[in-house]
Amino acid sequence: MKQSRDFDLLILGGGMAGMTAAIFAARANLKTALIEEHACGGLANWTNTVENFPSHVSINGMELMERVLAQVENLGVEVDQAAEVERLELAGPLKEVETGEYLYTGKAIILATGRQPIRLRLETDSDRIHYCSVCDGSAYKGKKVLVVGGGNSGFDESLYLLSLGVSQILMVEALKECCAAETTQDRLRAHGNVEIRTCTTVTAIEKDGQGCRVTLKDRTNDQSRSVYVDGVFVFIGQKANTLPFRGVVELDRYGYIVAGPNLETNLPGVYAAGDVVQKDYRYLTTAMADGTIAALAAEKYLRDAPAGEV
Amino acid sequence: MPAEGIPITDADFKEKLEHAAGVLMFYKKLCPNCKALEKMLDKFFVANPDVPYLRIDSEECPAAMAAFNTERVPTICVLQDGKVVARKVGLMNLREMTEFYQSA
Repeated sequence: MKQSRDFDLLILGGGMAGMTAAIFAARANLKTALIEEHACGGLANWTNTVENFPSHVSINGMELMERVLAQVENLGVEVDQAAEVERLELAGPLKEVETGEYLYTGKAIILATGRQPIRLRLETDSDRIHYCSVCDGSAYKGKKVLVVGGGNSGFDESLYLLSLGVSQILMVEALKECCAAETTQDRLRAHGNVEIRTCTTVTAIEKDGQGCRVTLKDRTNDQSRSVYVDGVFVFIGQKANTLPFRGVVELDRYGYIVAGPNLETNLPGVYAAGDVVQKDYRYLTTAMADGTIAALAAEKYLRDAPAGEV
Repeated sequence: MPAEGIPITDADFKEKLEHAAGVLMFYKKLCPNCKALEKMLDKFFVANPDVPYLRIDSEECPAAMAAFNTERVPTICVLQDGKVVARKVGLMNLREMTEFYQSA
């Protein structure tokens, strides 16, 4: 029998949206628990430099999120990290989150589970395919790597790989143009050892000695060519972390939560915030706005509910 | 409570790890997967307070990294009498870590 922990509000996910919601909930005197599967910080932890966050010209993503977490903990929020969720009950008046260690209950819940990187969908025998340049980039000092994806992550991570001493980067982007911020693109393109190919996809990766042989397809003429690289780093976007909510919470065709103007979902007392919500723009700043609104809406829901109903 | 662990450096790893037993983690300060693994290890060492926890900062200890033939972080090794008896690169949850340690 797991120990029960009872709260006014549960927040699932400790990225910027979840932590902002926790700050507002705590300040509204809601007894709040924040449950995070890995470490608080979300995708921002994977961002080497954040340059679009007001008040910081440039800051490391993990450093920024550590400051937010300190603020959350200082307000007395119960923060449970490395908490693996085994069961969810969202439909009833009392929301339940069962982790490997505890049974959390709350009168309302905010789903802020964010997104996770999309994996390359290729069968391969290579163990040289990576999704984290900070974790694995040091092994490629003086070597050539392929970066898949020409978005902000691809460019930002390429700059980081160069700073580690990677000698050559070949970047491929499936679209006609790279969609990263112009300033970041300019910074990477200024390096002489970076080649960027658009309209190009990866169709095969095979182990080849200490590195791998990659087949690239030019989408303008359907011609393929093979290149040798020492390693491959993949940054091709993210997908919503909503698998546990399927069939319970209304999702759009891409798996994002459909939420109303106050981030209410189709279930009473269940709110959503941050990247996991169906919307056009996903940034730290929009996640903060979502966290704020969801927490205030949850607080109003709890305040307005007839006594004994929640 | 965060598990602090015993920091091992290039200067002392030969001496301190020669007959060491326990869990050795190679990490980087700003590595997101290392951060997540550390949170899991906090719980592991609460449940296993007698298991020694040793830590090597990969950026500050290239000699130790080379000696343990380790390039990627996070890497977790289980040591017995200074020998690596089990090794795992990447994330684990608490259940996987417990099984990994017990089967080593």
